[in-house]
Amino acid sequence: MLEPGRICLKIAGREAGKYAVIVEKIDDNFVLVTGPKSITGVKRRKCNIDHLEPTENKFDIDSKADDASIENLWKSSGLIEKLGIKVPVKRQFKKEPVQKEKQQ
Amino acid sequence: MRHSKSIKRVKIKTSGGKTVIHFKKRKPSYAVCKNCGAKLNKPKLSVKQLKNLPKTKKRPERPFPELCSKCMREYFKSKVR
Repeated sequence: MLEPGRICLKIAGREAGKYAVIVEKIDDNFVLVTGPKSITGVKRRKCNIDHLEPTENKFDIDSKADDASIENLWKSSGLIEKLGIKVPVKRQFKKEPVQKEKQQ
Repeated sequence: MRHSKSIKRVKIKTSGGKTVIHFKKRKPSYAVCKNCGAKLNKPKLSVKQLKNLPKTKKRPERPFPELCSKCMREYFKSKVR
């Protein structure tokens, strides 16, 4: 069930309730997981199998896929709207203050 | 409320030779999971003392801080299945 490409829900820790994609299997107990952070908020990290709950959805990914390719898969598949993921909006910095000309 | 029977009393001998009853202060109760009633790892302090603590010491970082971790996991599992 927990093979590379499977979409899971994290159920423990501060990232509980967020979706993640399995990238590769490390050993019997641990897998490498990524959100990626720009879409679901889970950063690329090692994760215990007990802290994941698999869903029905799956991506076809290469071995050791990078975050940019998985980000494109999320956008093209249309699962963001189906699962109801809130994509974080990048913070827009304020424009630099315009220097006023001194009145002589 | 201050002199109700549920509050502990202590008999104390004063310097004048009298024995007087003193009423002890109530202690705050444990924080408890709202679903199953298990004890939570939250500080057992009064509201006034909690004000001076930082936010991260008053509650866990995960979602649903008023539930225990087992109940929170089962909620998320039921959401997917």
